[in-house]
Amino acid sequence: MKLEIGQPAPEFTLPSHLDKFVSLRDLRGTNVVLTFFPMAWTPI
Amino acid sequence: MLGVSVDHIPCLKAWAESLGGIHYPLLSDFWPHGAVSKLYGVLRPEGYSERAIFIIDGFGIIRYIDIHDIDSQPSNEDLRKELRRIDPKVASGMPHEQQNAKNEALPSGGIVMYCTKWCSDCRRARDWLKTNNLEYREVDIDANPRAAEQLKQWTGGKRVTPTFDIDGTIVIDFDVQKLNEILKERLAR
Repeated sequence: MKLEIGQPAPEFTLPSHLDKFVSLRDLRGTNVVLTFFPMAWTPI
Repeated sequence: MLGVSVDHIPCLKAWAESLGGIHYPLLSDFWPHGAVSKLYGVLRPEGYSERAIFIIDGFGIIRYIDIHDIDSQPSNEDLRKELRRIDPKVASGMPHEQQNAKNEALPSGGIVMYCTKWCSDCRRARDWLKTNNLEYREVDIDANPRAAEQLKQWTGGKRVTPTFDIDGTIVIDFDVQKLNEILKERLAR
């Protein structure tokens, strides 16, 4: 599936390295920069 | 700012540590493997994701997509430019606000919650406080370095959110039982 600008961002909940889960829906009201990176030990 | 990769949590932790600590969440899309990367159309057949940036606005709408050359690092300057375009007040105001926050004294007395904007437990705690009609103040540890430092002292170097300072008694994490105990004692006084 290819996403496009103007579409709603798909919802997700993932565990974080800070021992907490993060849900996208909890971040309504703020801008979110979501960066995917191929693997740790590579530049983010 | 959220980072996502298909690495598992211990790997992300080790990596963050090797970089001297990363304070924004690195999310593990390890299991089911790459599910979120796939949802965003950036999972490669090799099993890891593209190097990609999505900017999502406050309404949950995608405003910017950059599927980057996997071997080169996206420029922070470009990213700032895009953020300014999408929300002029955010990106330009940020450094200034942070400067101010630095000098801001930490509140004490009553219920003070040390939290972040992004953590789900902080959100649950907010709901819980509201449901119980408890007055409280919030300190965003991402915006206030002094608060982050204080939190680290309390939690032994970890940044556990939410953490509460209730009239000087520290409750680490959203521990409803403990919170109830302390609030009961407080009422009895």
